[in-house]
Amino acid sequence: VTPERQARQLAVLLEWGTWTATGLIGLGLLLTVAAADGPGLAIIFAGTALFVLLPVLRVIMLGVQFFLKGETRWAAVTGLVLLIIGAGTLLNL
Amino acid sequence: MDSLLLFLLFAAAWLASALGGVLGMASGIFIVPMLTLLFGIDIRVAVGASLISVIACSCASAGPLLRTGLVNLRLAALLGVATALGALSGVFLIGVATESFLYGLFALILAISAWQMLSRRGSDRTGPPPAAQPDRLGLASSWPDEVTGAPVPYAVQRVPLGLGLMYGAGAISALLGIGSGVLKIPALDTAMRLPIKVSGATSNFMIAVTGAAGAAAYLVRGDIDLLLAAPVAIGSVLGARAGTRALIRLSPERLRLFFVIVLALLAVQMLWTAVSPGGAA
Repeated sequence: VTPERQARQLAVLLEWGTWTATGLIGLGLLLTVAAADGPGLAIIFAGTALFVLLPVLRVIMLGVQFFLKGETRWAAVTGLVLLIIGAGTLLNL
Repeated sequence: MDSLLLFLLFAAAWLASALGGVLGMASGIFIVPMLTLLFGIDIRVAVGASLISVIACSCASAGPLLRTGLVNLRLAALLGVATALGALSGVFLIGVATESFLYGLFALILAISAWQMLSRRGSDRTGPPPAAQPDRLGLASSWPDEVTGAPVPYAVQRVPLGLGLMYGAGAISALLGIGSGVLKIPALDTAMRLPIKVSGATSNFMIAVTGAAGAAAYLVRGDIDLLLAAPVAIGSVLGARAGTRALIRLSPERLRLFFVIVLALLAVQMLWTAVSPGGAA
């Protein structure tokens, strides 16, 4: 994985994820305005959760890229970031 | 929540993010004052919605920045450890911080932002060459020269100081619902001596992870008002893209003084809310 390809892959993930999350939130908002007791709020939650997950997915992709390049030390650093985010989330459950 | 209020929230988030995009800033610095001062929303609720906006803005603008080759991925990964730890500290601190403290801290950050914006100049410092510093961590990299496209090498200095500043930036981000670019860029630019463009691109790339570390905790605690976050997130994505496009056509220098005044006025208003009886609980 060249640095350019590495950056391109991350860019594609973030762009697709951003538009998917935005689309989900927009759809959920329209459904909520149409019928407050419908599935709108659940779809908004899915879109919001995707936005929160997107940077986490980006860290996972970065870690995999480092691992495939044989840069295990940097893969471990990204693993530590994931561990901290995961621990924080679990502590707040 | 009625349709008119949803539309107003969308429009306000669009405007805040477009303005932020023109100035190369995340939207949080405008979103939280807007939600609290204009819409009368509780600052803790505003912080949760703003974090989603910050992530949305960062993800929306990260793609083009990644393609420029300006983002230092190794450095972003390393500093991500410090900002994620800081963000978790911020999530726990917001439970014990008073609203007056939050408004006062926000006023301070707004004042620092205004000062930075006023003193910022189009620095073209390229950073020290790699040979000037040992590179035990392998963080040295290069960025493409604007004219020739040739790689310009740079080194990364004072990593422990950078990690400490990033921890603080992460805590402030989760406490106030902002991207903390106001702390991240000086940490990268002034403390770690990175070229200014690399600092901006790497800071923007990191903001989403810092925001996610805080927002994930808020989300599982049920502290994010979805009907507030939804129009703010959509407005932020569309506004950030419009602002980035406008950045190409407009001269941000023309707008800079105007926004220094806006930030200073917001700082005074937030400070007044912090100290006035009944202004903040």
